[in-house]
Amino acid sequence: MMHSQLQQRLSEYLDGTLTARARARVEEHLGCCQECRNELAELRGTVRLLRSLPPVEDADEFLATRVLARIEAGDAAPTWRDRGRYALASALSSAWTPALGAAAALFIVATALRVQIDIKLPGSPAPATAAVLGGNPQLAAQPVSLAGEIHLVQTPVHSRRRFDPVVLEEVSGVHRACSARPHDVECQSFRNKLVELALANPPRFLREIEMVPLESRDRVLSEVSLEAARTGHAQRVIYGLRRVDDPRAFGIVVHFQRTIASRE
Amino acid sequence: MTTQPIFERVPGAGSASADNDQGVDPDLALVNRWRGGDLRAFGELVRRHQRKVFGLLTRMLGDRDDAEDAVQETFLNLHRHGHRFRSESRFSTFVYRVAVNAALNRRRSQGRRRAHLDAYANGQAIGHALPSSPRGPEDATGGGEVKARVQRCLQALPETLRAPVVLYDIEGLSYGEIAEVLEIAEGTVKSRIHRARHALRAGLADLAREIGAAE
Repeated sequence: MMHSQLQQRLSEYLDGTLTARARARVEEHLGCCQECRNELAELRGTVRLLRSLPPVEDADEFLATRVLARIEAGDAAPTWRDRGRYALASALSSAWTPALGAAAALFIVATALRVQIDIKLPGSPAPATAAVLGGNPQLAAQPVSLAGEIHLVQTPVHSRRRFDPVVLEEVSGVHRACSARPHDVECQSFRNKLVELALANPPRFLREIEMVPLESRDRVLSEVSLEAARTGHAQRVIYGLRRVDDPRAFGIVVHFQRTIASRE
Repeated sequence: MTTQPIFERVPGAGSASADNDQGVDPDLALVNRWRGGDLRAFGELVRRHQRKVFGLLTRMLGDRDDAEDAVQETFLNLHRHGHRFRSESRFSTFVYRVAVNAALNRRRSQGRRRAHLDAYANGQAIGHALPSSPRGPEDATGGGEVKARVQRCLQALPETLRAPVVLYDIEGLSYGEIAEVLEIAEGTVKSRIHRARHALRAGLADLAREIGAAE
């Protein structure tokens, strides 16, 4: 068994959940690897420490009474959100299922093709628009008739922002270059790309920032936030980051706000 | 090779699986009465599980006041969504799932944001300065210090790692039960427990080395 593979199994070894064969292989490796023996000892100590935590004392002896009182007061009644979910669940399990499935499939196809779908309802004079999405230049300009009822129509390209994968590659490349030269001030392109990335894909932006060495992270963040402020994108970047459910985002938002405040 | 695994604490022994060796859910009768509209049966279920739920939430949230609020939320949510319990798993597993969700929701909505903003405002690295656990009288001794340190390290873990390690090493659930509670694959549970212990080991290296070497 490889050294790295064995390290992954040390926890299971400690818990005694390995098969006899796997355990024998781990023990064989431990017999000749001091590093793994040390790691095992530390892991064992860690588990001991965890398991030595005392049980938490009971909090509230009247908890059940309080909970029952709140239930009787209506605190456990389904919320509007729950009711919406129940309604959706019952609709999905009813006779509407085939119709809803067909509509969902149509929407997915439309999304993939990025076309406008016009559905001509029986008796209606004009097509009813089901979905309007970005245009696809490869589609024919003329409407394509499907069974005489549904028309796929090329629509103008809308302003939905998409981040080009090539740019992501560039970001990574320039990022590496800038990381190697933390004091280099010629990384304007990198900063621009990061601002663009923060606008288009905040979670990916966070990951890129994570890759910047800790000692130069604050500097890079300051430069990026200044660049965002200079180009008028700072508030949009902050808005995007606030919508990301990631604790790192909050810290970076604070950084952006501070930089912008100091600039003003 | 003299190294021996830790066998003396069988996973699952502290939780649902130990409640009844025959495989019959000991809560089932009460659950059926509750579903039939008997609110007192639900009160009994609360009393049966409140200690475990409060323990789990205290370890997950690291704050006694937050945990007390989250316990109430857990049982209210349980009553609200009780119809989702299908009796395919143990009721206690379902309770743990609701409790973990309550903890995660609470963290997301307020606690975590506040903690990280505070940490950042203090000029410290994100994730390195989480609120410490409340301290008890035994903190006057060295043992209390060690436990407070362990609790702080636990709080510094990301939630995706903290929940499995708390459920396994402190609450005593098995890999399978944790997989059900967190709705993830059993392999993912093992991997997260391993990663959590590694992360904890980094923060407790001196103590862990001393204790591990002494065995």
